[in-house]
Amino acid sequence: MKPFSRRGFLKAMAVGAGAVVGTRIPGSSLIGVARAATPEPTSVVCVYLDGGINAIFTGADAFMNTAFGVTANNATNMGGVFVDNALANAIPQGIRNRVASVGIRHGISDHGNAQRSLFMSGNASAPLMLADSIGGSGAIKAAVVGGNSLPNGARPAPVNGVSLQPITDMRATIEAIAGAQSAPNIADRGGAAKGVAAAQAMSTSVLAKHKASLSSVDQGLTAAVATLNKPVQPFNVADFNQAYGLNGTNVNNFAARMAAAELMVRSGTNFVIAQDGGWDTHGDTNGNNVRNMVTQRIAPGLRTFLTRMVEGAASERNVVVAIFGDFHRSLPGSDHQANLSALVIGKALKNATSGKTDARVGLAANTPGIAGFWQLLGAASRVDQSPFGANPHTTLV
Amino acid sequence: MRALIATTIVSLLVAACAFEDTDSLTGRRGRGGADGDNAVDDGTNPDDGTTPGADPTQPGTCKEGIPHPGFANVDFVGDRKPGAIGGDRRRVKPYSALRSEFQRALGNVPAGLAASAAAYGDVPARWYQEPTAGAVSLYTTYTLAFTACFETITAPSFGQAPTAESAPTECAKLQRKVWQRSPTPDETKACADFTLGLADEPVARRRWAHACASVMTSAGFTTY
Repeated sequence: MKPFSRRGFLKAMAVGAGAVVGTRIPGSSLIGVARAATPEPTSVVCVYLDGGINAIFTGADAFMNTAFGVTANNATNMGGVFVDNALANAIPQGIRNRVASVGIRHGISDHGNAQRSLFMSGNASAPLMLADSIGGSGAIKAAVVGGNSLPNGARPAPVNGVSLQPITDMRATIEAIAGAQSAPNIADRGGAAKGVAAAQAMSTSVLAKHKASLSSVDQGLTAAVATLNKPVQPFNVADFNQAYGLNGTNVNNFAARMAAAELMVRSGTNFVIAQDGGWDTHGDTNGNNVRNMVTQRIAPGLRTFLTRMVEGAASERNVVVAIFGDFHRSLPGSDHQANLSALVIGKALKNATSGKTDARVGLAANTPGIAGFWQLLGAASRVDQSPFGANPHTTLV
Repeated sequence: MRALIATTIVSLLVAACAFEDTDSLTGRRGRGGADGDNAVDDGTNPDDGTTPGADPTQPGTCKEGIPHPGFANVDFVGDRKPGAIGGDRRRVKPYSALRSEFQRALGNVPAGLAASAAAYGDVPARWYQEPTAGAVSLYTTYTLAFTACFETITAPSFGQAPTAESAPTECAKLQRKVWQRSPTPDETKACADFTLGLADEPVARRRWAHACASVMTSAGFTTY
């Protein structure tokens, strides 16, 4: 036996400390260990308006009686955050004191660059970094509902094994999460878990040769195996259809996307993005075009989601909803402004704004950029170690 | 006289072609020395642009073309990323191809396929989106394939539980048919190991159906 030494003692302590810390390190969902990097089940849901977001939804007071048709009668003051009524009506009374607007002075006025940059942190995917850092026990940690990519068609590389999974059908997703009914000619869940793992083993050489073109197959097989190895979670398509006013299970409209977002949040997904197109609203000088689109397309599903998942589930989970787009619409022609504010809603948020636009849709010169936005989302998620660094929007959380 | 001139011109053309460095056009490795089928590449020719002993399918092991400078002397192919020969060519099969592919591989189409378009993210008519796979679509493939496989494997041999002899044999046969290529020993072993490992499944036919569904869910079937 080796004699006891100070160096040996310190080494042993370091190993022990490493083992303890290791159980708190986020990521690597593949080993099947639930890791709590947040104090409660946590999800960030991004509602992305493809093309841009008018500032009347994040700071309408800047245009009172001067632009975009804003008057005292069509905007609601939520503790200093003025939101146009088209969107305000979708926010339940009980959480209106949990609404903030965050400024993002990104200096970008072209769609492609804005859409790419808003979802990157350095060379990595910011959503996947956030999903990884939140930890938790969900098999699918990041999902895009009603599509298969981030804005601009981006399909990000996984971060610590966390990949972005497409959710395009409620029934099929529920079957994967909850398992299908038992019958002689239907695959049982245990056998399917092993079978998909075997399929992945049989795919090794093909996937190695076609790493980039078949990356979705590799990531999908990994996520499928993880999903099938999780305990069954009971969900019912009819419940979602009734709550969100849906007729089928195809995730092909905004209400269905919010229903799918709820399904994924309930199943333990940390990051969900729901996109809506048609927001490059040039010429919408009185704001009526965007008001109508919010009222008709966005508000119904969003209201149901906020009511059930932010207001109704506040005691059991932390759900943060961020509503934003490529950039604000500029004056006078509702064109491209090289900044934006995002409306962020969740129980960790306070009524405050760090993105108060002026009458020309400008933001203060010291407003943080895209990094600050993800730093805020990290803080609102209450992750114990944010991969983005300290939150500069300290008044909002 | 006219015949003499014509003959001279043809001779000059033939001679010009003979001096052309054909290898610079075809990329053939046997440059200099012997010709045609007698060319020998011993890997010592310093001008052939290859790296002796390296995998010839990998980038950097052979000449990759000449620069194409354009305006401001910018090489307009300079941002092309080198890739291995034959790499990243396979793509995910679209939903629209699955019906005929199930028919080809198994001889029947699962009844649930028609109602599963949304699970694969099928796109509207006259719209294109590169198909991708995901956890849900791959699980859907597995469950559909299991049902189709179960209905297909009715031969008496599939009423017997797989053995160390029958599992590799049947797996290899199935893989060859479904993938339209011969499987590697490792691929067949993965299938056989899975089939033999399903000992808690009491119905032999279901064990074989799982093996079949697994092959149908692998990249050999779900991609092309």
